[in-house]
Order: sequence, then C-alpha cells, then structure tokens
Amino acid sequence: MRKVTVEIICLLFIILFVYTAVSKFLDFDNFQAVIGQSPLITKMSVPLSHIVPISEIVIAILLMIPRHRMAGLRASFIAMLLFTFYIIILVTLSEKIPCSCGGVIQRMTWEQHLYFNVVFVVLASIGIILHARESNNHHNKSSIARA
Amino acid sequence: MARVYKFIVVCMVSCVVLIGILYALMPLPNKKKNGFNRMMTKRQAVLERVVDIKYTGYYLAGNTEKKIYLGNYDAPLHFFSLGIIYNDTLSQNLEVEKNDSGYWKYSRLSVDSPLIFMTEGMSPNIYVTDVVEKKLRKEPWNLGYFTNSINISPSSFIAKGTAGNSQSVLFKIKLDTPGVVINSNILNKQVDGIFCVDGSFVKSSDRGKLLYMYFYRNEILCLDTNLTILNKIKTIDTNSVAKIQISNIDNRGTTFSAPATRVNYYSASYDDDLYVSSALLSDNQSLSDIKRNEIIDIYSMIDGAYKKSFLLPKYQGKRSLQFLVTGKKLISLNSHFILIYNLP
Repeated sequence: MRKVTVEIICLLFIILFVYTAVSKFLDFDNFQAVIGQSPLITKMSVPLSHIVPISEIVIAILLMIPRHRMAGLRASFIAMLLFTFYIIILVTLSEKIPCSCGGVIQRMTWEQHLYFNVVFVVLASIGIILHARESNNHHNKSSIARA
Repeated sequence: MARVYKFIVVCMVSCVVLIGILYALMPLPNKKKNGFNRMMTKRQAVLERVVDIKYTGYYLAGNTEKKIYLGNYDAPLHFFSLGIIYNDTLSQNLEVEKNDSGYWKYSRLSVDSPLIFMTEGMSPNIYVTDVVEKKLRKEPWNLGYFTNSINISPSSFIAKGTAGNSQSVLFKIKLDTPGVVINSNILNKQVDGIFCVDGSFVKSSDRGKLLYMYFYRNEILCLDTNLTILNKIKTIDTNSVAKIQISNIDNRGTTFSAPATRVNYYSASYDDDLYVSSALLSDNQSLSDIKRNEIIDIYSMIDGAYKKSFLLPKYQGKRSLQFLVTGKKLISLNSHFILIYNLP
C-alpha cells in the first residue's frame, strides 16, 4: 500500500513536471518575458528561464529511476515549496502578472494556483515520508534475513 | 525518520529565507526617491457614501450632473445607471438585431445623454440608440479597426488603432460623412510605438477638446476634435521617457519583459481642472500615503499648470478602477462599489 502510494505520487509529479517543462519550451519566448515581468525575479529572468524547465525535466527523470526516487521526491518538494512561496508573495503584492507555468495551469487564478501548489507540497512530503519508511522496512528485512 | 522531518523543516526555513531575500531586494517604483515634491492639501477627500452594485466587471460609460452610467465587460449589452443624489438605480439590457454578429466581448458603451453609443473595434461596428429606445441601430461605418474610442459629438469619435507600421495611431471617425481622418504624428514613439504610447482618453467638459493621458510617461495631450495638439500637460513627476522593456514573442506580437514603471493610473476632468491619479510617490511623502490612499494631482487645463494634490482613501485596501468628478464630488468605481467622496 505504501509502495503503491509512493508510485502514484511520483507518477503525478512526473506528469506535472514533464507537462510544464514541455509547455515552457514550446512557448519559450513568452515564458521568458512573463517571468521577466515579475518584480521578484526580473533580474534573473534569463538564467531562470533555462534553469526552471531543465530542472523540471531532471527531477522527472530522477523520479523515474527507482534508485534516485528519494532524490527526485526531495527535489520535487523543494521545487513546489519555492513555487508556493513565490505565489504567496505575488498574491500579497496583488501583482497582475500572468502565470508562467504553461498549459492549463496558466489559466488558474493565483489563488487557485496557490491551493494547487500546496496540494503538491503535501503530496511531496507524504511521498518522502512513505518512501523513507519503505526504505527503512526494506533495510530492516534485509538485516534480519542476513542475520 | 528524524532525518526526513529535519529535511522538511530545513527546506521550509531555507525557502522562506530565500524568498524573503528576493522580496527585500525586489525593485519597486516607490522604493527610491522619485525626484519631485507635491503640494498636499491639509485635508483629504472624505468618503460620503458607498453604493454596492453587487457585481464586478463594470466600467464608467458616462455621466450627467445627476446620473452616472455604467457598462459591463462581461455583459456587453447590459446598461446600468445610478442617480448621484438619491442612489436610484436602473438596470436594463440594450437590444440588437437578431442576425447581427460581432465581437461582443470587445464592445464598449459610452453615454452622451440622451444618446448611447456602442463601439466594437474588432469587426469594426458602431451602434447608436438612446436612453429611452434601447434598441441599438448599426451605423454604416466599418473603415478602420480600433482598440479604444471616445465619442466627441453625436456623429464623431476619436479612436486608437494600429497603423501599417505596427504602431499605435489616433484617428477620427466620422459617421455623418463616413470617413476616417488619421493623424499619425500625435503619439510620440519612445520604445516600441505600442506599449510606450499606451494610455487612455479623457473627456473634457469643453466639447472642442479631449485629452489623451499616457500611462508610462509624465505627459497628457490636450487635443482638439481634429486631432491637433493644443498643448501638452506635463505631470509633476520626472518620468519623461517610458521605463518599459519589450520582447517579441515569435510572430505573435510583443509583450512586457520587465515590470513597467506606471506613472499615471487614471484621470478625469471637470470644468477647467484635470484630476490625475498618480502611481508615483513624491519625495515629501511617506510610503504609508500610497499604501492607504490614492494620490490625486490637480492640473489646470488652460495652461497645464500644477495646482495641488490630495489623498483619496482606498476602500477595503483597493484603489479605484475609474473615477469622475462632478461639482464637489469625486465618484469612484472600486470593485463592485460606487464610492462618492467629498473633495477637500
């Protein structure tokens, strides 16, 4: 049950990150311009426009490989946490900036986007905790078997 | 497991710190001094009345001394009027011919009582009716696409559209002898010719004049109805060049690629005075002034001289979307409220 839950969480993140990364690459000029409009990250918009989608692809790959799944889950958690705090600041500033996520996520309001992100932050935390417990159990069983 | 929980907590704290640092270093227009001072009145505008019109999406379509008229972006044929003195409201829908089609989403009402105009610049179409009849009659005119328009007489409009060289131009629409008069020399290109000249029309009580307020520079053009520049009103701030950055998006057009420094939000005229809601804080004001209030600067329309400024308290923390001035009152549209202020 634990393993299945972790698999589902990883699958959701793979779909999310591949979808958003591809959307960004397909509309790259617009993505770069939109993140430039954000006062929080405007000075870093050129490097970030490359780093963000590449990181999303790398995280998706890590999640696909069982050995690196924990690293992928941790990276997913950090990424979603950063995106979430970024949205909180934008909502606080009441900035009328379009979302740069790409695809259907772009059509959400900032408030809807915040709830969406919080859900994925929680999913990532659950994934990390369950994966850690699963790894501990596996390790304990291996130790007992050897003994 | 303790390591996992520690990781989660450390990540949360680190992210908060990182975002906090970015927030502190964020460039904002009123963080630095803007290089000018204001003459503030001792008193600010006082909110007299609030009228809840229940729905958002409204815009000011016109006014008389006793009534204001509103259109709605989401319901283009919806027409709403509010009595200034007794808060009496009237809500009705205008009618069009059954087979008539157009880009209704982009149509806008304007009222020059008793006439009501509906303009839609994508087809383009212009319709006319009056406050009694309500059935819109299409005018036989479709000679130029436009984004904004303002009526200057029962049979003519000034509109803003895009010329062949992809720059914004102002032109005059004449309905009685269907035609277009273009003046491509009015809007002074500084960056791209589209965003850098962006602004809004302001009606003047003097029918022979209208104004065009730039959003991103300290200038308001005073024009006659033949699109001749009569004078240029310089607002008191120092932003004479639009501080914007533009990017091309493949072949789909252009957009901002950095936060734009907005100079003027909105303006309205009454008699010989022009009231401008400014986006910029002066050096002799505190940040709390602009957080809790809007700043309204008053200029003379005769010689463009700056007269004074006053604070207009925000309502529920939000600034006005639009406002008009009539007599000693400033009437503001704010979310789904009409706010009536007494001028200081």
